[in-house]
Amino acid sequence: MLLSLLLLPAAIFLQDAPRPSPWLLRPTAIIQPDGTLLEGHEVLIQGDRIVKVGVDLELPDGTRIAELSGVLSPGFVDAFAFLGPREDYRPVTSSLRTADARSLEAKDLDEDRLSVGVTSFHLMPRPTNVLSGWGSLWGSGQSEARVKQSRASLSLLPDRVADRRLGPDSLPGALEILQKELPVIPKSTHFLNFIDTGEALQGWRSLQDDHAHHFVAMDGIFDFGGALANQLVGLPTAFSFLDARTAETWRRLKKANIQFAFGTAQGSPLTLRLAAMKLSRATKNPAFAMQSITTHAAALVGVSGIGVIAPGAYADLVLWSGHPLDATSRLKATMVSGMTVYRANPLEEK
Amino acid sequence: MFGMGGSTPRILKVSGTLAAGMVDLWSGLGKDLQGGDRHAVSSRRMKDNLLLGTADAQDQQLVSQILGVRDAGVALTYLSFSSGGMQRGLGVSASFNVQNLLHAEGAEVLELSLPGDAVSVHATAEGFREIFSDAQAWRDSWDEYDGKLEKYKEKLEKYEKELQEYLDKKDEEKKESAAGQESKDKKEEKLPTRPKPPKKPQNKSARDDVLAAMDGKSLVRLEAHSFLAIQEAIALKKEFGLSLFLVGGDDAHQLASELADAQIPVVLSLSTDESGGFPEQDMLSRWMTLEDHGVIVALSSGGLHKDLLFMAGQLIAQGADSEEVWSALTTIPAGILRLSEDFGRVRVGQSGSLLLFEGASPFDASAAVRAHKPR
Repeated sequence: MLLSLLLLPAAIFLQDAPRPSPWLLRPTAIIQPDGTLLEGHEVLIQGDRIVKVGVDLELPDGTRIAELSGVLSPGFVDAFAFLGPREDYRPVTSSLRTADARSLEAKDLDEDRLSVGVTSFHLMPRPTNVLSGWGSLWGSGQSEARVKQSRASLSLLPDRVADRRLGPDSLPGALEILQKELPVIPKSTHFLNFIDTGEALQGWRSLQDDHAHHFVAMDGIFDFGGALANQLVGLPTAFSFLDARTAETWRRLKKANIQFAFGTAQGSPLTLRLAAMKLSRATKNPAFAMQSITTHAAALVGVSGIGVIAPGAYADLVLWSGHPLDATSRLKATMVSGMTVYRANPLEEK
Repeated sequence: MFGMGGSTPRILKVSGTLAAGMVDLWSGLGKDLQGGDRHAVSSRRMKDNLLLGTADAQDQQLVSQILGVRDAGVALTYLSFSSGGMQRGLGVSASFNVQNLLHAEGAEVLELSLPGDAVSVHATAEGFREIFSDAQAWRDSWDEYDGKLEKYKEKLEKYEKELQEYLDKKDEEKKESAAGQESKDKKEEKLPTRPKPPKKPQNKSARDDVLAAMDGKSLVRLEAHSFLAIQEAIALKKEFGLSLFLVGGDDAHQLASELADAQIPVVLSLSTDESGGFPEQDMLSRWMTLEDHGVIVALSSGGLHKDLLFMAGQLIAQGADSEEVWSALTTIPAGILRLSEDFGRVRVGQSGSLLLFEGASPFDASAAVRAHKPR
C-alpha cells in the first residue's frame, strides 16, 4: 500500500497551477458513469479536465504515466449544504448570494470534505426565508475560478420561514408571499424548492408557477413519495437512518422512478458516502447509490462535468483502496481540477 | 436474516457468504422508563416491558427501530434503560423470532451507571457501595436470624418439655387431692413461659438481584466513561466480587492493565457522532491498547445499530484486522453475555439467525453488481 502511494509521481501532487502536460492515470479499476466498477480502464487528464477514458488509449506526446493501485471514483457532489450566510428577519431575501461567501474557503472545512471524497459542494442559503437567495457550486480546495452561481432557493418549511414580526407565520402566509413574488422573478430562474410536507407540495402546486423547480424533501419523503414520481429529488443525509421503514420507502421510490440526490444540509460531509452505502444496501443497487452522490447530485445543482469520469469533465478524482461503497475501503488521495489536493497518511504496516 | 419454520428439511441454495448474526451490547433500544436513583435499588425490569408483538405495538417508531436492528444484521440485542438514575434496573438481551417478535435470552442484567464528573462520581460509587453493603448486611441479618431461629427451636423444645412436666404434675396433684392426700407443705409450681420467636428481617425483592450479582450468578453492566468512573468500577468489582462488564470506556485504555487484572470486559461504542458519522480516529488505537493488555473488548453500535456494519467497516479501513472486528461484533459480546452456546457462530445448536451477504465481506455495500474486464 505504501509502495503504491510512492509510485504516484511527485509532480502530480504539486499544488500549483494545472500543468498543461497530459497525465495518464492507470488505476486498478474506475467507477463508470452508471456506478459500476470497470477494471483495466485508463484516464487521460490534461490541465483541469479529463480528456479520454478507455482501454489502450492513444497518448499525446509528452504524456506521463501514473500507475495507481486502487479504485478511481469521481469526486462526490454534495447536492446542498447550508453553511453559507443567512438573513433571519425577512421572508424574502432574493438578493443574497452564497457565491459571495468567501470565508468558506477556510482550509479546515475543505480538508473535512476532501478527506471523505467530496470534491464539489453546493452551497445554498439556509432555507429560513420563503425566498432565500442564490446558491453556488464550489470546488473543494479550489480558488474562486470554480465558484459558479446555481439555483435560487425557495422554502416552504413553515417552522423555519415563520417569523411573527416580519414573515408569515404559516404555510398559507408563505404561499401568499410567493403568489406576489414569483410572477416578477425572471422565467429563467431555476429553484431548489425545500419542503417537508405533502401539504406544502400541494400548496405550491396550487400556485401554478411555471418556473423550473426541483424538490428537496427535508423531512424524509414519506409524505409525498408518489407525488414526486419520475423526478429527481434531493434528500438530506441527516435523515437517512437506515431503519426498516426508510429502506422500504427508498425501494418504493426507486420503483416509482424517483432519482435521489443526497445533500448534507447541516450535517457532516462524511455522511454523504454513508448515505450512499445505506441506499445501496436498501435497494441492492450500488450504481443507483453512486449516482445519488455523483451524477444525480450534479443534475440537482444544474451543472455538468462533475461527478463523472468522462471526457470533458473536471479531473475531480478520488483514489480508494477498494470500491467506495465498501466501508472497509480507505481514501488514499483526492484530486480536484487535475491537482492532488489531499493525501491520506499511509497506513502503518502491521 | 431469514427464518424457516417446519420440521421437514428443505434445500435452499444461496449464493454469497453466510455469517452469524451480530450481538449488540449497547443498542440504545428499550423503553424510556422513568425512575431509579443512586440511593434506592430500582426494581424496574426490561423483561416486563418487552414489546411482545410488533403488530399490536403502539409505538410505531420503536417498531421501526426494532426491525431496523434486525435488518442491520443484529441477531441479539441488549435492551437497556435509556434513561433513569444511576441505578437503572434490570436489562435483558433479546433475539428476534420468525415473526419479528422480541424474545428474552439469558439472565437479566443489573444496570448501573457512573457519572463522569469528579464531584458526583465518588458520591454515586458510595451510593452503590451502600446498596451492596446493605444487601450484604441484609443477608448477614438472615444468617443471624437463622442462628436465632435454631436457638428458638431449642428453647421451644425445652419449653414444651417443661410444660408437659408441669401439666403432668398438676394432674398428679388433682389425683392426690381427690384421694384426700393433700399435703400441707405443697409448693406452688410456676407455669413455664413460652419463648418469643426471633424477628424476621424485612424482605425486599430487588435485593435478591443485587445478591445474585454479588454471587456472580447474574451480570452487572456498568456504564462508565471517565478515568475516575472506571477506577471506581474496578474498585466496586473487587470489593463485592461482581461479574461486571463495562460499557462506554472512553478512558478505558488509560487503565488497560488494571482492567485486565480485574478481568473486566469492555464494550466500546462505534458511534461517537449523533449525525451517524464514522467512529473517531482514535477509536482504533484505544481498542488496540486494551487488546494489547489482554482486556476482552466487544464493539457495539452505541445506539446507532442501523449503521453498525458501516461503522465497523470504517475501522477496518483505518487498519483494524477484519477478523478481529468480526469477533468483536459476534463471539466476544456473546461470551460477555454468557450466551456463547447460542449466539455468535454458525454452528450446530446455535441460533438460526444468520446473515447472508452478497460478496465476500459483510462491510461491503457495493457487492451486488460488478462488471469485470481484463486489462
